[in-house]
Amino acid sequence: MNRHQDARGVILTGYISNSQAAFSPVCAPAASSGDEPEAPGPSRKPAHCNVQRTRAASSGPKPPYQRRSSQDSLDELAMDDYWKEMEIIQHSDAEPQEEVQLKVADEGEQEEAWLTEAGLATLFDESVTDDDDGKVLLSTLTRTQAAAVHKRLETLRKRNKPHSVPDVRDIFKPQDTKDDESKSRGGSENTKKEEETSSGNGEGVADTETDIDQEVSFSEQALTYKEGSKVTPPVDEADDRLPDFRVVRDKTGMTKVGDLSPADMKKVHRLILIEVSALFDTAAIDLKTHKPLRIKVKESGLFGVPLTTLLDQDQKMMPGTRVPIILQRLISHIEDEGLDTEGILRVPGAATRVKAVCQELELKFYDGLFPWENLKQHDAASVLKLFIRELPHPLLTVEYFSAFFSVLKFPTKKQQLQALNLLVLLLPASSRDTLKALLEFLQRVIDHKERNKMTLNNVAMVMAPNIFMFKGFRSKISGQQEFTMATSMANIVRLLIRYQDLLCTIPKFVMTQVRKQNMERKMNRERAVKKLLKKMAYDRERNSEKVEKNTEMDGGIIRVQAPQFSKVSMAVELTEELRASDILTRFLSQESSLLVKREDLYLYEIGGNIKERCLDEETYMKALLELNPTAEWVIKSVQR
Amino acid sequence: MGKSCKVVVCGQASVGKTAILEQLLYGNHVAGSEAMETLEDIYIGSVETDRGTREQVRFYDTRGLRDGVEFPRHYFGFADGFVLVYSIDSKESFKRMEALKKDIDRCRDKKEVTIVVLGNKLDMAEQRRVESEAAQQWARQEKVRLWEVSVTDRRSLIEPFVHLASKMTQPQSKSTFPLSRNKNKSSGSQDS
Repeated sequence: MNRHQDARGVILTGYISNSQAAFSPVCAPAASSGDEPEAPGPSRKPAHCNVQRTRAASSGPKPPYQRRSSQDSLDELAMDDYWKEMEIIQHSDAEPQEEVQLKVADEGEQEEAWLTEAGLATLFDESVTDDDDGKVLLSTLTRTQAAAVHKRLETLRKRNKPHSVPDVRDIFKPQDTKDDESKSRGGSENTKKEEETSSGNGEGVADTETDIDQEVSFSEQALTYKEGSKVTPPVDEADDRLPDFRVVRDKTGMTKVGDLSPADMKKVHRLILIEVSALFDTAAIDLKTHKPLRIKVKESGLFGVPLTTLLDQDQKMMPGTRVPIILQRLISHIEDEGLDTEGILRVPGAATRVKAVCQELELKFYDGLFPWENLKQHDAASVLKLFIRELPHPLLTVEYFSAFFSVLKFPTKKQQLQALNLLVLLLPASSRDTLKALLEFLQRVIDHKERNKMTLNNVAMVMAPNIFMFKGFRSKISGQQEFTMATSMANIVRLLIRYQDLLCTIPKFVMTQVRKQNMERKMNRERAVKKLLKKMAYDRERNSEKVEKNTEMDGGIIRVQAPQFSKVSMAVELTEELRASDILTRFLSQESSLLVKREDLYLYEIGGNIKERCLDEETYMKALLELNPTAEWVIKSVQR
Repeated sequence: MGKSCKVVVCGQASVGKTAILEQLLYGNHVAGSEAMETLEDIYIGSVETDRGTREQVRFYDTRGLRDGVEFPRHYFGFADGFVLVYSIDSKESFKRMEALKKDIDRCRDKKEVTIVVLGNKLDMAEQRRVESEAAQQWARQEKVRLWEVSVTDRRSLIEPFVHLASKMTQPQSKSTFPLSRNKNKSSGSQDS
């Protein structure tokens, strides 16, 4: 946390002018002088004019996506928050920064990495042993997903001709027919309106690739795009109204990140990777992924430590920690002081105090000796923002950093959200959990907007530079580029906050594919077992098993187990309306001596075609039983 | 977990089987609260015996019997003990309990089972339809113990269950366990 000595004076002037500006938004542009960091300027005037000009110029021919409709755009005044925040950041990070190069991986290398991550390394590298996972995965891909794999294999094949990469036709030939089959089956299960179009496309191959992709791959995603969102609303409406995307409730329940077992999450990750590539491919948007950063990082401490290191550290103290304790503590501190404080997050803390607090935290936090009662709310907010931007690897990861930007290139909000959804799911668990905790906090701040005057736009403006401008990256951009990026960043943060629930949901079609994969693998295993066992004996065993299952099924009764409790099992008769929450309520009504809270109680779907899944309260049990007839149902109490 | 006794609680619908179990195990049942139909719930409790040991018991709370609903046969296969429940304000429930006792005798083969009978709803004595003396007479004839109890009085429930646990866990009855183990598996329960 060593600040450069010569930058000190700048901090102070910057800080004073800025805090004045914060109280009088009319003269706010004066605070923007900071976005010309290379030339702090002998006088403030020229820099100021400069900014004004840049703005005027760029407000004219804007990229179309920025002004799709007036409700989506961020007006000039609101942007001031962004520039102010930038200025604060630049002043607080006066120490010289290591140049960070965002490298795009070479062709071929990139494809190999992609296929490996997608669990398909066997396709180009015969030395990789594969327990049929790859084959099973391939067999469940939709047509566009297969095309994405196809494309990367083709590139790889062209490059490494001598290498014996199999011809894609050999890989996909048998699957193609299967895909059609499964696709039409999927279509019939699917109750969404899109069904008509998707099956229509399935027959008429003449349609363009993009159409098929959008309808088929996302036909099961529970989003409805409100046509009305294109209509420009009255101008005087609050500028942070985003279309109200509604999640179409699926009877078999929503699956959130964290509801699944690690084994199934791995499958989800692979599918999402393929799907996101398919989506970008078909929209002809370049999905640039960067090589992971190789930089020296601190191996211990709080600030400037990679998330994973921090979490390892925290998990030793509190097993199961998924969000850095320091961040949790900062958030709860800010919330304890009350979220009604005007300008929370926007009003900066006193720079010198913030610096001191950080140092003190480094020393005393883990010993529990830090005097939290003395920490002022605005200072805490500043420390929180500092924590985020000091992460050596950006929260949204280096790999997908530009991909997040590219999201805005999609023509409709719906597609942008779908892409964003996939990207959020693609983040490593540490980043995703932390991002989620942060977004939830930001939403709570916004919930108090009547009092604290922090609307969605305000919060997005203030947080965008902190989330996106990771260390070393921000020094490289300036001027026009920065302006365009600023709007994009703020827009993405807006989307992230506004639709966080939706973005953390694993799309239904991915779940269906995971279930299919699991079934396929199970069948493969059973086939192997069959070979081993005497066929006769095996069949007998199976039949008796079946009969028993059926008697249970016919009665529409499931047995819910709760091994943790004294009431260990409960038979429940299923009705059309019976939801997971009803089962929990019933369980708890009888087990009321328990010390568990209702909120900590969850119903799990275990076995069958899923490893383990925590059920959404709104899951309709009967519908889910049809999807996974051999599952077991278990009530557990979990602290999440 | 492996060697807990299995006790099946049965009787006519809404005589208070679930209420008895809940009051016994948690002591929180409010008499007169709305009855919820049970299908089959399983509880694990530990009951003190008269020898001073604590025994783990699995209680199978079964679906109430009514016309057209037969008592599922598979219970006879694995149960180590039965709690037959009737309500003193219903003659019908007593008759049904009698029939159950006969069924058990017929189906248990040579297996040793302990049976206790509970006449519930003693707190509603003014609506009594089953005379106490007649019931005890029947019980002596059948060589089973019978108590009249009320879920409002948890203490009245303790004695029958202590007796049940003590009888079931007497050393000689242990020979039945290997058998009950197999049967239990097929009933879909996840224990043992």
